Amino acid sequence: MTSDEFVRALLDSAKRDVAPPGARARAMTALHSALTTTGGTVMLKLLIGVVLVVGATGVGVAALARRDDAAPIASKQARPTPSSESHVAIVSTARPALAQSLRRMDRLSSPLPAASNGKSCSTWGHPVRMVVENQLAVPIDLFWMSYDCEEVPAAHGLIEAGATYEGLSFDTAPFRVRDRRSHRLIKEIAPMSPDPDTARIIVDGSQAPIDGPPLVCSTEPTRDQVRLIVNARSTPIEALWIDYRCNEVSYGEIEPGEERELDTYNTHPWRFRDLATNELLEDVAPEPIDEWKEWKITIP
Amino acid sequence: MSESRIAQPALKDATDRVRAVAEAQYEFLWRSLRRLGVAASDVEDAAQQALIVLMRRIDSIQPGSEPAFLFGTAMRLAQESRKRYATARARADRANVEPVHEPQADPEQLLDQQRARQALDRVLDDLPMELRAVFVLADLEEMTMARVAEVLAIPAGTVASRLRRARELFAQRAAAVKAQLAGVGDDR
Repeated sequence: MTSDEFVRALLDSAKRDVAPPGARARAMTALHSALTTTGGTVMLKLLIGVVLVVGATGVGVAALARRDDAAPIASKQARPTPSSESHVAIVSTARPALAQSLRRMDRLSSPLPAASNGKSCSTWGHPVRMVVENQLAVPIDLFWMSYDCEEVPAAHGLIEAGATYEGLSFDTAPFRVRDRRSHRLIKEIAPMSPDPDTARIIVDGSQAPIDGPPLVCSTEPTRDQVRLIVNARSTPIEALWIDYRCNEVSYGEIEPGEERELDTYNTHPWRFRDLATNELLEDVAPEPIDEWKEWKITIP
Repeated sequence: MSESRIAQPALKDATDRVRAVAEAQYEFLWRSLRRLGVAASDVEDAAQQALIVLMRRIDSIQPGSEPAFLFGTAMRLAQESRKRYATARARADRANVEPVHEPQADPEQLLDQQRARQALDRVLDDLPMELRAVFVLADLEEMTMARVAEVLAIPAGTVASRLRRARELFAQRAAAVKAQLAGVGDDR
């Protein structure tokens, strides 16, 4: 037998790689069982959410009453600049327990369309005063969600670490807060009621990253780099490379306390999820500098 | 209740999509796992594991990218499987367990498909995963280069260079295995 014939025999042998009879049926049965369980979990989360919304009705009614009493719209032609207040911040001054519940609900409901489809839009409304306080150690960008559902930089786009922005907006304008360096979505701010005493949005890092499609995909790299990932959590996490089509591609698990070197490139983003719950823990943006560098990233 | 009314159709869509993908791609997934290095006895379990990962991630997978996602997951599972196998072999070595003898055969007998398949595993195991993946998709799955580039989410030029290296390495390793088997045959 020649070498070519030998190679051909090897390649031909792979043609008989077929799943054994019944394997697909067994897989589908297992999958059906898993899907049923997951559906039940999601419905439970939704039920909790509905209960919490009912619990918050008092706040909602009060806000509506204030809106009814408000003066007629003064300047419908004007478009809002930075403003608004999240329901979390409103209740955090008045009803801490409820604020905590709503914050939990934010996390539970983050995969739902309102948080993940990126299509929160402004409509015409009443003027309100807004305050955004950046308690993080990094600068953030504030974006107004326009009438066309696009992100428009507000507050000149930047609120430095520790700085506070004060301005005017409308009670129908949603906003977004992003980490300036990674462009990671930190917080979505729902339209708020015009209450100047409580209209304060705190960005303090207590918000979990908002899940959804990756913000950036990998592009053709110009330089290799290394990310040193430290799993500071008590549970295993999963490293996910965001590929050229923005798919999450698993690069394995990182055990609690483990440090893992990821050989990567300067234009490749990564994500990290809790292995057990699939919760998004961190979005790591590319570092598009044309030099080799090692970055240490701790997943808290 | 409005939230549940909004969410239910989405949930059903996702569930249906997972089922449809699993149904359509199961054979591809099974073959990929096998050819990427998962032992035949473990492939079925690994395939189920990959489908569970698919289920967890379905919302973040773009429609049409499911085969690519499954192949990427298969690569990871295969790497873990190989790591486990290596660990088990190291433990066995430390315990002075007798190494497993390769089945004796000569090249002529490799026309026997089962032995040929074992030899193929040995050759493929010597390929780094990035080359193996390209080789599996291009030469075993018989995908076009453009399709391989799509599945692996790498540029077409990278596919071409990796495939060239993979074929060279495959030929070298095949020759080595052939010689080894011939040597075993001569010793008999």
